[in-house]
Amino acid sequence: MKRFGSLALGCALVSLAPSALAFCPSYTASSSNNTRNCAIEAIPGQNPSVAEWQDIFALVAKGPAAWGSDGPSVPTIGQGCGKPEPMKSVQARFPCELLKAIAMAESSWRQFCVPDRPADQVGGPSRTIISFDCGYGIGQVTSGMRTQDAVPDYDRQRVAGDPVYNLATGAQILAGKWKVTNCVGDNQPSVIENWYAAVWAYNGLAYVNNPANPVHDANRGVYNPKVGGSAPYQEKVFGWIERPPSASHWTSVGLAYPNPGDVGTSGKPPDLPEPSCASPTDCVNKRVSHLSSCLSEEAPDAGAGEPDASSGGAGGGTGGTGGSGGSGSGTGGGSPTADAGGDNEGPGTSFPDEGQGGSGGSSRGGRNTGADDTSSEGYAISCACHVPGDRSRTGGAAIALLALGLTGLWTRRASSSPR
Amino acid sequence: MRRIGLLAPFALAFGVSAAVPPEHTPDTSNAPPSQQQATAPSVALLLTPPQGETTELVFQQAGSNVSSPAAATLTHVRGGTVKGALLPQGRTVVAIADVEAARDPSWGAALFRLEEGREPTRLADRVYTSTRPLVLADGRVLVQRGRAGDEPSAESDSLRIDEITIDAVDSTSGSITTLHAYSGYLAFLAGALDREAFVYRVGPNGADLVAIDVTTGALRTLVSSLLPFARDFSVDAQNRALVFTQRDQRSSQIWAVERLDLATGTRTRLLTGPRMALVPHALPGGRVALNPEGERGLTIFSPNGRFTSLRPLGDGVDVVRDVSPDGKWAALLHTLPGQLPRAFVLSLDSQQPLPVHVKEGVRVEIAGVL
Repeated sequence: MKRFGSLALGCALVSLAPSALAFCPSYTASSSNNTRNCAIEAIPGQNPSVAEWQDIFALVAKGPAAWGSDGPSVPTIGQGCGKPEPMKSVQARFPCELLKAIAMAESSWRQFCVPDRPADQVGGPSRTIISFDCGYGIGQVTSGMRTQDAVPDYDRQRVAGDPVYNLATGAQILAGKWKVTNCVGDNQPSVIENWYAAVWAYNGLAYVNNPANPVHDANRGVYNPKVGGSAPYQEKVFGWIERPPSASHWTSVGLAYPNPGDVGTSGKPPDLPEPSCASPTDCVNKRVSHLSSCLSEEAPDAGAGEPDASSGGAGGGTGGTGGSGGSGSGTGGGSPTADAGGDNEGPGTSFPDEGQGGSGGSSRGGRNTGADDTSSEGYAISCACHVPGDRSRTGGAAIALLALGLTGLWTRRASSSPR
Repeated sequence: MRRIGLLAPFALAFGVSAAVPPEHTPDTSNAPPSQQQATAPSVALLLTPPQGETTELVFQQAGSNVSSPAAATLTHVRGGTVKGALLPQGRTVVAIADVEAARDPSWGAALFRLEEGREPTRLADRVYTSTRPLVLADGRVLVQRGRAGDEPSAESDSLRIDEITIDAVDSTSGSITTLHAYSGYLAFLAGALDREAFVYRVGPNGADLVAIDVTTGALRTLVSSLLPFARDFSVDAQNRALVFTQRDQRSSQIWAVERLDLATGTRTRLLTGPRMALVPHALPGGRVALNPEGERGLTIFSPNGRFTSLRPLGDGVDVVRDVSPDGKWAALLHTLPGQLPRAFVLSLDSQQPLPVHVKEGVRVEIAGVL
C-alpha cells in the first residue's frame, strides 16, 4: 500500500461492464458464511483506477528486481529450452499482457469493492474482494489463505490489503508454475504464448483445463468474454488478451495457440512446439507468437543487477513448425479400415488420403491471421507499451522503433546463439 | 466395411480437398419456411446471457417468430455453463449448471429438475461442469460426480487425480445410486443403449471406453486403450455403435470420425479431416451428421456411403443436440468460433431447416426436441 496508497483515494473503476462490477464477494474471515475457512479479514480500501492499475501492472511485470519490498521474493526461473537457446536461470519477469488478462479473468481488476455477498457483508464499505473459496484480491490469491493451509512465504495481510503486493504474489505463484511445467516453444518468458502451460497450472493442473476435454465445444475458437461458454482457463486468459474490455485497458493481441492435437495428453501439458495455431480449435490457419510489449529487453541472468541491453530480446526463431496438414477429408484409406479387436489405437491403420503434405511453409508456416502481428524473426511484437509514469500510450512511431530495435537485437542474438 | 470400401475411390479420385463429393447440395440457406412449419416440433431451450446469473427454460415452436415465455428460471454462478436434457415423454428438463464460483470449476455444478411454473429442484451436487445429463429410457438420470484430489506435486507428470463416480439420480425423488467409481481425470458419459451406458474415461495411464450396466453397475470394456482425444459421442442405435471424433494415432494434425461396434469393439473410420470440429452425430437409419470441411456446414453421411452436403445455414459448424422421438426432426446449433450459436431444426425427411427464434444476446443450448 505504501507505493500506491496515495492513489487509492477517491478513484473510480471505469470501463468495466456493469454485470462484472455487480459481482463482489467478500467472504471475510469473520463472516458467518465463511465455510472454507478463509483466514484473513477483509481490509477496507478503494480500488485503484484503470490508469493506476496500469502503473501497477508495469511495475509487477518487471519482476522482483523492480518491485523490491513491495512484493514477495521470487526465485529465478528458467529461460530457453534448447530450441535453440540452452536453458539458463534468469530473474523472473512477466508479460504485462498476461498479468492484465489474468487479473481481468480473476477479479475484473479489483482488489477492493463494495460487497454484494455473502448476506452478512452486503452493504458494507469497500473492502477486499474474497471469493467463497478464499481467493483474495486482484490476483485471487488462494494458496496459503485458508486457516488450514501452511503459512506461505508471503505476507497474507498484505495480500489482502495491498494491490501491488497482491498482484506481485500472483506473479510469484505464476513464476512457480512456469518452473514446474514443461517448455512451450523455446521457453522464453518474454513470449506471451510460452506461458500457456504456466497459466493452465496457475488455475490448477486439472483436466478441466485440458483443451481436449470433450466438455468444451470443438468449434469454440478464441474465447470471447461476450459469448462465454466453457473453455480451459488458459484459453480464457488468452481470449481476454485478444478481446480487452476497453482500449484503455490494453491493446488487443491475437495470440497463437498450441495444436490441440498436441496438448491433450493424459498427463501434464507436454513439451510443446512454439504455438502456431490461429485458435484453440483451428490449427489449419496459423498465427505467430508474440513478444510482450513490456519485456522488450533481455531479462538479466540470475544474479545480474540490471538488464543487459546488449543481450537482445527473446531468443530467435524456433524453427519451422511446418504448414498445416492440408485438408484431409476422406474416408479411411483405400481399403476397409475396421481395426480388429478394438484394443490399442491400431498401428496398422494407414490412410494414404489423409493429405498430410500440405505446404511446408516458412519457419512459422502458414498464413498469419493475427490482426496486429508484426513478425520479426518468428515473433510478433505486441503493441501499445505502457510506459510507467507516462499515462499516454505509445503510438505507432514508438512501436516501429521498438520493432526496429528488437530486430537489431535479435539479429545480434541469432548470430551468437548456439545451434 | 463395405461402405468404406465404396468411399475409398472418392477420396483417391478427388484428393484431399474434394474427398467429400457434393453429390446433393440443396440451396437451403435462404429457403422459406414450408408447410412443414405446421408440423414442426417445439424445442426445449436453455437461454443464458453470456455473463448472466440466470438461465431460462423456454419451449419454442420451431419456425415461429414469436418468443415463448420462460417456463422456468434457474439461478447459477455468473457466467456459468448450463446444459440439459428432456425427460422422456414430457416437458420436464434436467439441467446441469455451475453453482460454485470456485477457482476450479470441475466439481462445482449441480443437477436440477426444471418444470414449467415451478421452482427448480436441486437433485445432486458435486457434478462435473459443462456436462449434459444422460437421461435413460426409464427416466433415471446419469451424471458424473466427484471430488477433487490433491494438486500434483512438482515432480509428478500427472494432472490432478479426482475421485469420480457415475451416479444414477431418480429425477423425482432425487435418490442417488452409484453405478461406477473411478480414480482419474474424467469419466465422461458418452451415451446409452438398452441396459448399458458408455463412459469415456481418462486418467494418468491413458483413456479407455467402457460400458456400464445401468442396473447392476457391471463393467464391460469396449476399448482398453485409446488416445485421450475422443469427443462428440453419440449412439447409432441401428448399427449398435458409438460414433465419435478421435485424433489420428500418428499425426496430431488429423482428426477422424470413428464408429465403434458396441458388440465387437471393431472400429471403423468414416472420415478424416484437419480440424477436430467434425462433430459427428448418429441419426436414425444409420445416417451420421457431421462437418467434414471444417466450418463449411452440415453434411449427412448415408448408409450407402454417400455424403450429402446440406449447409443449411451456410458456413459454420452445425452440431446436432437432439433428435425428436419420432425421428423426423433434428435440433441443432449453428456455431461460429467466438460467436453466440443459433438454434434451428432440420427435417430429416426433406432436409429443410426451420429457424428456432431466440431473443437477442443470449447463449442458447438445446435440451431436446418434443
